[in-house]
Amino acid sequence: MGALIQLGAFVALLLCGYIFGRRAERKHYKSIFQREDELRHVVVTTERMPEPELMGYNFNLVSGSVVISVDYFKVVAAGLRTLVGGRIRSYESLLDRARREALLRMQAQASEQGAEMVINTKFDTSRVSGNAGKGIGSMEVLAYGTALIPPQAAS
Amino acid sequence: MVRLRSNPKIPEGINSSDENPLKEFAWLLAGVTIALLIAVFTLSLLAEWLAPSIPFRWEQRLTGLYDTQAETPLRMKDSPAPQTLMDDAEQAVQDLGAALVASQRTLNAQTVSTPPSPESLSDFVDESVQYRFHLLSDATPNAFATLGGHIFVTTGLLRQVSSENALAMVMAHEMAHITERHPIQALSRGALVQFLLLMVMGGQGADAVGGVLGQAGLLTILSFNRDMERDADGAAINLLLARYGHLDGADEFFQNMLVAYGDVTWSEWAQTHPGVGERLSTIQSRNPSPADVKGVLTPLDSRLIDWLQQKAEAEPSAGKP
Repeated sequence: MGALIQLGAFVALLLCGYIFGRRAERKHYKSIFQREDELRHVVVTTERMPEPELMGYNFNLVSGSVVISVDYFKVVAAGLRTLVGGRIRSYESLLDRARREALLRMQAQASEQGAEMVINTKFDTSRVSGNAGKGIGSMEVLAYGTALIPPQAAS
Repeated sequence: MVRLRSNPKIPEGINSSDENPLKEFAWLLAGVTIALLIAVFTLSLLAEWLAPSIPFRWEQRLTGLYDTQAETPLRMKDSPAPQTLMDDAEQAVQDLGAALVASQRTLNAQTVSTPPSPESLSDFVDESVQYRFHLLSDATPNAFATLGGHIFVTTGLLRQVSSENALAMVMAHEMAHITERHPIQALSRGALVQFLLLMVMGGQGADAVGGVLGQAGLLTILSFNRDMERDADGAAINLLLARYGHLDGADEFFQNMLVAYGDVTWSEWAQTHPGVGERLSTIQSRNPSPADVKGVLTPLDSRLIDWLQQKAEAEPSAGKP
């Protein structure tokens, strides 16, 4: 009987994780697409040397960070993958979302300050709440760069 | 030089995949589960084939520590039954056990005229198998056989039987487990499968997956267990037929369990034993005496009856469920 209960609990958690996880992911992606369009005017580059025409601009550090957690379904799917090997698609989409969200938050911060451009953009990824041996629990992604603010916009 | 005025729209699907995760998950789970079940099945067959070659003397050596303790019967600390009646009851159980063993030896001698030379590993019969019977003071009706030929019958089970035939059925069933070397087979099988799961799961994460795959392996093992129980039932029926000539009264314990706990129908594949209904029909189908005529039931040993009476007097509320 214990075997049945454990199997039942596992399937229930799995379904829960899948349904809510998919819903959250779809909603997040929709929000990401929308905001990327809104903030398209804040240009993000990895350039270290700004063009000469940007010489008089004010500059500032801007950053955006986000912590996203996996759901139960993703954990189990990744666990099976570690047996067999190959792309862990469930985590790939998670990281893609996290990176883009961090970038968007950085752009939002820059846009609030009136910046036109963010140069020398870098990423930093780390694992939060060390889950010893249980796979990636939650990921924190930090995006930071130098915002270039046109002189007239700065107050 | 014209600088970038707006971020380009990056195409989707490069860093992430649009493929349905359920499809991928289903494939993975199916593949891993099937591979694991095949491995567990193969290892179980292997263990059952090789384990009986482990000499019985090694089992005895392992349980030898217990042998010295077994000389004084086990009892609960606050048992109201006086020492001597319990001793007598255990002696009665041991006497019945010895009688059953003697019947078994006679039966073996009758069915096999000349001892066959072992042609394969499965024909090898360990001559040193010995049976030791013990009475365990426990209210739960139970009987089990362990390594080293030890057979335990609980006092709770004594209350569930009213004839020697019923008690003999249970004891003969446990004896058959020892004869067929089921304890060492089960132990070897369990150890091998645990080792396999440890190798596969041990260093990895995802405890949830490990737990589920472990349960899948366990369910495969349970089907082997049920076959062992069916074999033991068959051998016990043979012994009872040889000793009493009929199977009347042999199913009393199973009838009581059926009344008390019902039968397991849909979840049989998660149980260690076959369903009670199946075991009852096996006994009834092999009973040579007609349904309306009851054969003579051999009464319980007087020492057991005394002990049961004493118990009933001491605890008037206790009784059959």
